[in-house]
Amino acid sequence: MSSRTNISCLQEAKRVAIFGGTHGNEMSGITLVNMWIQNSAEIERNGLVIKPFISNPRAVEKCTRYIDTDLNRAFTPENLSAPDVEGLPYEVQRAKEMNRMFGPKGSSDAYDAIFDLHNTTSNMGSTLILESSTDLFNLQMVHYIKKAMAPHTCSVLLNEHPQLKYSTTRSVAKHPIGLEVGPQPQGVLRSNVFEFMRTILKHALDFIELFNSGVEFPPCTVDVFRVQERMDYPRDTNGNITAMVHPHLQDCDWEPLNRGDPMFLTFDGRTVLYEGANTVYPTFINEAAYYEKQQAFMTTCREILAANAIRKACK
Amino acid sequence: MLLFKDILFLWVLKQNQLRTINQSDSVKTCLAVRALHHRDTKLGGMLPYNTCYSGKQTHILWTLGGAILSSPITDSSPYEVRRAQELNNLLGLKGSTDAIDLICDLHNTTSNMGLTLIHYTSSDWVTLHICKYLQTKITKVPVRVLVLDVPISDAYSLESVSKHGFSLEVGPQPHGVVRADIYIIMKEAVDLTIDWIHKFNSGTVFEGGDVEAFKFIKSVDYPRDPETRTLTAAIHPQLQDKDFCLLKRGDPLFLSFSGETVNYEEEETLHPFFINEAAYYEKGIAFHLGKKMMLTIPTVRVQKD
Repeated sequence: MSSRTNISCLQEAKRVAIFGGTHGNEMSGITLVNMWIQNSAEIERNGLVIKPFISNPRAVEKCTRYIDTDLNRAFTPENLSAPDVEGLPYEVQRAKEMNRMFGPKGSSDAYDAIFDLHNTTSNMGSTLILESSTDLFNLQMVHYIKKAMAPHTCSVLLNEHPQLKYSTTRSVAKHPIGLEVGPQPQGVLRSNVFEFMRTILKHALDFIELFNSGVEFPPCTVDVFRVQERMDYPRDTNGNITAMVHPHLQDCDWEPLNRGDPMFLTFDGRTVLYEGANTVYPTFINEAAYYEKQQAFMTTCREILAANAIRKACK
Repeated sequence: MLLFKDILFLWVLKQNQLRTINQSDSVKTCLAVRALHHRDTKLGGMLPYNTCYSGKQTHILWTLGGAILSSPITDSSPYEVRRAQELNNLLGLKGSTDAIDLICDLHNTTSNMGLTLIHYTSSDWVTLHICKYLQTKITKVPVRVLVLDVPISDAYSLESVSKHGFSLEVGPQPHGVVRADIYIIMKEAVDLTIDWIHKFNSGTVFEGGDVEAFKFIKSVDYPRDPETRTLTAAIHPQLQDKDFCLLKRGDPLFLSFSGETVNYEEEETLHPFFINEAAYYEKGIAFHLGKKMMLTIPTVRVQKD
């Protein structure tokens, strides 16, 4: 029996942005956004303003992750409120500019939804990244996307960790969604990865259009992987890595890692085992950009999130 | 053939990653390019595919041609040109009797090429014997031999500085990543190369025979917008990761963003390799095409004084 009191009425999502090139060497999003800037027919939806946007054009020009600092970590309150002075890192300037265009972050003027398109060298398949376990709009959207993409799996990563959560480019919006598709090397465009990302976006925009037209989405549950811990490589006193991700762990994103399982293989052939008490589900295993962030992989735990029914609020 | 005294294995210090190999007295290791930050290294750096290749971003592999080696160094000389001349002084001079005996240059590729041994010429029996040795000993991955057929005087890459040289190319591996499986293959290849050299220097006779090789024929670029030069297609899923397969007329090459398939239209059956290498977008290369051939090498033995 459905109870009318359990339906959450949410504001219509009128303004949506699609960011590519937050990292200038992650080619699927860059290619999609450039294509849609040229011809937006594919992403047009009734009643929706959709803006495809290249976040970090200078990094895209050089096909590098960033120029001065990682744009996807730059949307901190300190950076966004920094005075406009000369010598600000390029990405801090860019963050302030994007906050003006698509925010201000945290305000009622901010864009309703932002999709931020990323690739990873990790074998994560298609992953949707959420920053809140209580954003009903986003939970219902990822549920819709997962169903629409089946039998192709879309994993959902939830980063709500107080220390490990970071200030993403998409966090400017009311409903931020990260799309992470891999494995794909930096600087490379793989056709299958490109098409998966394109299809996920199509379903996401379909959801928003349906929601805005008044469709009610019934209560649902979403299986997520909640970020627990960052695991670094073994390093020597100079900070050099002394081991690699073990062949048994390499490419095993989302698979259980149990106590006693191999984790790293040192350059002189020794295996380092996982010593944690509980089973974890590693992800971002051997992501190229995370060597400098002291991360070989992230551990997660499985959780089921429940979402109320939602419907567009009546005016 | 002369005893190998000075052999050099080159690797790149990237960020804080240093690969070590077992060294013996006659084997030296050398840092080809010191990168203070992973984004500084030009060895993986690339220009976007929608701009022309600029002389300002010089790839060290492409700088060891004669003109660059003899050009005067100024304050505005690109780092890699400076480094090329330093390496030529250290390891060469290229073409002279003082040059070291062998350079083995270690590379990775984003292409699914397994272990590929790359040579300039098809007439260096030493390096071809090493290839033959590696092909018989390594079974984990396909071991292929690629011959560029460029005279050494025109050769532009690092391993052309020494009397004998070849590159070890192992993939697929993304730039900036160390994969254990790829590392293990490369280490095995390096260990076996050193093994061969020691055996050769000790008087072992290496029987001649045939070596299957691929000769470089030409390169193929991505379909591009004629005005902006941006890509309009990606490597077709049926070609992606199929390095060294047989490509016949009618086989798919590219899948355009609007859903059309571009097929291989030529009569000659060739073999694609370096399919979707990240660093080659800026060079206008989606893949190379090669022809399979058999090279015959004679029995060799070290020359006794």
